[in-house]
Amino acid sequence: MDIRKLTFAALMSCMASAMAFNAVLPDKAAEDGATPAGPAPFDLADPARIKAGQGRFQSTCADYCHGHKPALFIEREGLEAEYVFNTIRDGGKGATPMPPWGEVFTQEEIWELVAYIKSIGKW
Amino acid sequence: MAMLNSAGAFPRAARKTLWLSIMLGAAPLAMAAAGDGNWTEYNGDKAGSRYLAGGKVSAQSVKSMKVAWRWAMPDNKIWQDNAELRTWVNQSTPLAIDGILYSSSPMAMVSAIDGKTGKTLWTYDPKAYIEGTPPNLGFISRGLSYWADGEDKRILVGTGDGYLIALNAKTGKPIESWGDKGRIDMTKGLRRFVDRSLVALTSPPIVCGNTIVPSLAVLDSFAVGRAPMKSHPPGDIQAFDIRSGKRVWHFEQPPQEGQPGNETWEDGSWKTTGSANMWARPSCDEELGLVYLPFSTPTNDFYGGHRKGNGLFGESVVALNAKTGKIAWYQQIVHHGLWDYDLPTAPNLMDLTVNGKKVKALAQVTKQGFVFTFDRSTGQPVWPITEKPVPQSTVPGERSSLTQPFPSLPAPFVQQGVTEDDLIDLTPQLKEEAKKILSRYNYGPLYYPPTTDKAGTLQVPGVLGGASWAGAAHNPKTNVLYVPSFTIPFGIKLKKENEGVYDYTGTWAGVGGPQGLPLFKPPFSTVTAIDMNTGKHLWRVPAGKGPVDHPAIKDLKLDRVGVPRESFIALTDDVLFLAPEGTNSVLGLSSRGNALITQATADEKEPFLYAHDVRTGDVLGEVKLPGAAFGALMTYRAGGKQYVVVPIGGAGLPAELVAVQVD
Repeated sequence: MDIRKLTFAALMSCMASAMAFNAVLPDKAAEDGATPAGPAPFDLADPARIKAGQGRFQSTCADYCHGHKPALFIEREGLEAEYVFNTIRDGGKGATPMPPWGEVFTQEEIWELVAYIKSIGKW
Repeated sequence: MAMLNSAGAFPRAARKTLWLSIMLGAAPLAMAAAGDGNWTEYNGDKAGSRYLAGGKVSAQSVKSMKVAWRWAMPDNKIWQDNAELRTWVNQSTPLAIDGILYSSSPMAMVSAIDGKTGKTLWTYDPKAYIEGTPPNLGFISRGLSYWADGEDKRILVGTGDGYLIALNAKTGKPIESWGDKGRIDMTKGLRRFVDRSLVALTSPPIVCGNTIVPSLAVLDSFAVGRAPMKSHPPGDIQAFDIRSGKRVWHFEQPPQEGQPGNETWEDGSWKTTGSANMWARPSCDEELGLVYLPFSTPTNDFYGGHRKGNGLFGESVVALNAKTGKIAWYQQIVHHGLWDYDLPTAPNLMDLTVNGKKVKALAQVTKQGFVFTFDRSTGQPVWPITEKPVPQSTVPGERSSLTQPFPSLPAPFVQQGVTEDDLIDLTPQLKEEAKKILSRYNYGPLYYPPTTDKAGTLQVPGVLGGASWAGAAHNPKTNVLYVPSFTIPFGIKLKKENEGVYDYTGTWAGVGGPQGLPLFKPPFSTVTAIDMNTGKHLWRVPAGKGPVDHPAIKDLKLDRVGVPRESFIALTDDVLFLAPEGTNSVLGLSSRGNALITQATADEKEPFLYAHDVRTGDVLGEVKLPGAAFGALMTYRAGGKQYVVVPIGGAGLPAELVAVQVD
């Protein structure tokens, strides 16, 4: 057999390429007439808000979608808070299969999700 | 269920007693596989048994299992050089014939490998990646088929770009005289134009007598958020002569005007409704000359207002004469499907003795957690199946079926439907948090229809199962069926469409529980052993260890609660091998917009192969793998040793086969 062992470095290089791979998801809000999210009502760096958002993410967004270690967001660059908020609230709107969460979570709860996603990214 | 302990599994003493009663009635049956060490079919044999007889695998030998070799797939370099061609997780399971392994890869590249020296004998590249990513989950090739007539030996492979290819098994070269220079374009010959980006051959075809019957995956629009088309690719089956590649019959799905079943599609919906295809592999009884087709849900998956009626042969098992394509019998498992409860795997064929009477039977495991058992000659139920009333849809324009079929035996092997009592209650805090999550959804018993409000309907089992494409294993000597299953609830929410083909389409999301744990009580996944002569469960044990070390429950010192995903299995006389599936996280859509793109987890928590006692379900041994399983297991013998082979990697990690020596 072509016996080979994966080295740690090789694994890391694979992960790095994954991080750089953004598929076709945009980083910023499109001019689509969506209701503006407005500014975040609290500090997105607040650890309590981040923790609340993480719990909500784990129960809502992780299983068979973004994963418990969401590669789409870890060290992600260039996202905008308002765009993330709108996407959670309105879903994929036909561009992706993501359901809308605006009728499920309050605005504050969605902002806590944004805080968590921001905490694991670089934006 | 009285015999279940706190983890939802049978106590050990009860499992042993039940097994003794099995062995007293056991008799070797005609379908027992030959003990030659070959794994000639994707599912082990044409009966879908996932079983290899004979060998020296024992309770003792599996205590010292070890990784014997690893083999890297040839398409790793392609996606590493071109991020647009990232594959899905590696689901490619090899065949083993007389010491040679034949392996497919996510991009359907085919290799022959000498099982003794490890040398790659040949590789064939169909270049199925030239036009881009295949639909749904992108590049997937679950395996190959093998056919031989004397010295004429062939490997058959389906590709992500819609071709069925016949190769010379000795050289890896296409058989020029077959089809169109060795291949058949499966997008052609259907009733309408089919866009190549919407179909793929992911499951290996089956050869039944002289006829080859390929499966065809069709884009599930909801899976990628793409607007459904009015004329979606249909679920037709085309069959071909194995020697020439010439088409021998065409089974139209939905049935067209004048054909049986056409009357179950109202308002001419049979003209345009698509899917209801067979993406899973069929089974075949060459003695009876019948091929058994497991069909899927029609478009669109969650709203049937545009296809009123039961919709035959959606979500049906259909037995066709393999030579002519004529219907021998059919049974619809879900009427007017609204849950994406596709029949996910080949039916298991088995020769039973029920109440003293011999029955050539077929058992279909389902995503919703049932085993439907029929006489495979006639289609008559082995045990009574009752039509029972189910909750009705209130979505405008929808007309859900008033009843659905419920088998009286065997009992369901997984949680069906949702009540508050089902919620995780390992600690009071977890229960309270779980109640809050549940309150976001509409919920009820099995077949609770999709809804438009809140976060939609909490569907249990979810769209992935229950049982899944991992299927079930069957020992023809004991007639015990081993069914892996799991519970991942899905939130299915319908949204009103103001333009486009449908009034409503569905969105989906896997639903987790509190603090990253599952929403419902353990076990989160199981394998259930069922005596198919009586229809009674023998034992059920958790599949894998699962999150017992999670901070919220580690103080409970639970033994095994099951990995909350599907598990892959392969069966020997004494040992059932089981590998829980790894995890991945979705990154987005392919640039073609037809497939999800994902990243497999590199530091998987439980990348193990487990060996279970077939009699009790007890864990006899385990070995840590270099990555978690993503495809079906197989086992074979070569050079006096027996191996279990596990597909790992893909989706951003190198795709490999890992062989574990087990004797």
